Amino acid sequence: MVGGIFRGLIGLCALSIFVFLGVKLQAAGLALPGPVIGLVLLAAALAASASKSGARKGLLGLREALTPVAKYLIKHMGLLFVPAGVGVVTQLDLLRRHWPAIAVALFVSTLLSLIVTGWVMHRLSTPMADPGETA
Amino acid sequence: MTTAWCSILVWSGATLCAYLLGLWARHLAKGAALANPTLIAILLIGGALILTHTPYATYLKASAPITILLAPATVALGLPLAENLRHVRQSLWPLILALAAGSLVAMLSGVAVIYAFGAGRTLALTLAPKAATSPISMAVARQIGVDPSLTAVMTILGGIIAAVLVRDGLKLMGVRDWRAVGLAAGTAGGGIGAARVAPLNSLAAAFAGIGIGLNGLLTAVLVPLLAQALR
Repeated sequence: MVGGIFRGLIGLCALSIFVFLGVKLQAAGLALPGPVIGLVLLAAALAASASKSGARKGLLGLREALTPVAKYLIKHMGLLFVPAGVGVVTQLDLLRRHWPAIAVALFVSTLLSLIVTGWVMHRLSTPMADPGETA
Repeated sequence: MTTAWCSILVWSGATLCAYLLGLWARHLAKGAALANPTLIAILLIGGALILTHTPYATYLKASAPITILLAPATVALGLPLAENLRHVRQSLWPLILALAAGSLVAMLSGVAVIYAFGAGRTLALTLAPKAATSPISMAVARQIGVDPSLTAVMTILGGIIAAVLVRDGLKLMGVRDWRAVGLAAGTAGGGIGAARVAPLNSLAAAFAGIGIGLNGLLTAVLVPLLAQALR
């Protein structure tokens, strides 16, 4: 139990270092949100751990340390943006005035995006080896 | 104990409880997309703020312990992306083209509808990043100077619409490839869309994860450019 919490804290610490790097790079003029830059850096570091580079061992340790806490955070991400989402209470007038436009825009853009993404991917992909896997 | 600490305990605790109620509601609804725990928690806490005449700024300060985890959680999305890199390499060009097309369509069609209704630039830009996963769509909204909470709610609602439509919509178009179904769900519907298809097939789950990660990146790059173009 204590060991699990300790490992979780190490993982959270590792994730926070990537947040810090991302925020610093954003401040240095990179036109992306800091945490998104951190996401890319983390993916790159983890991808490097799968290749046969010199720093591999340390990076494998990094993957091991942050995998449980990363999976946990992703699973409960829904909780983390509740406080931000509650901010709609300050926008109720706007919603009341423009709800038909918002409803139509949400529906149209989501449906079109689904269809276009799926259709292009389906048409351009090579057929799958295992026909039993098709929907 | 000072009042500030008391306020943090009360509102952070209330947020946790509201989210747990949301999880319970989803369980009772057998995982139906409409019973979204985040949306339920937002409605409950929003109602509580109005009933108790608590200003939103007070609540935002008091819920900081929860919000502070959002940045590391966003970075954590790099893990599934790295885990699925093998799939990305295997179908690099179809993936890039499908993502670019789907991402642009999500952005531009939403903006076009808002303009057609004459609802204005600010609202159009609020909706523009909505297809990206919530932490990213909110960060982008903040960057282009529109209200991130409204964008977050649009992301959740869009995700619910995607989760409801993904199976029948794609079947109607003759799309049966699980890679395409997964990618579409993750690109158009973020985490909520992904949750709809992930249990159906492991390949769909992997490509939904790729869709969330890469569409988040693409949105973060493209929406600020769109905001400049619409100036």
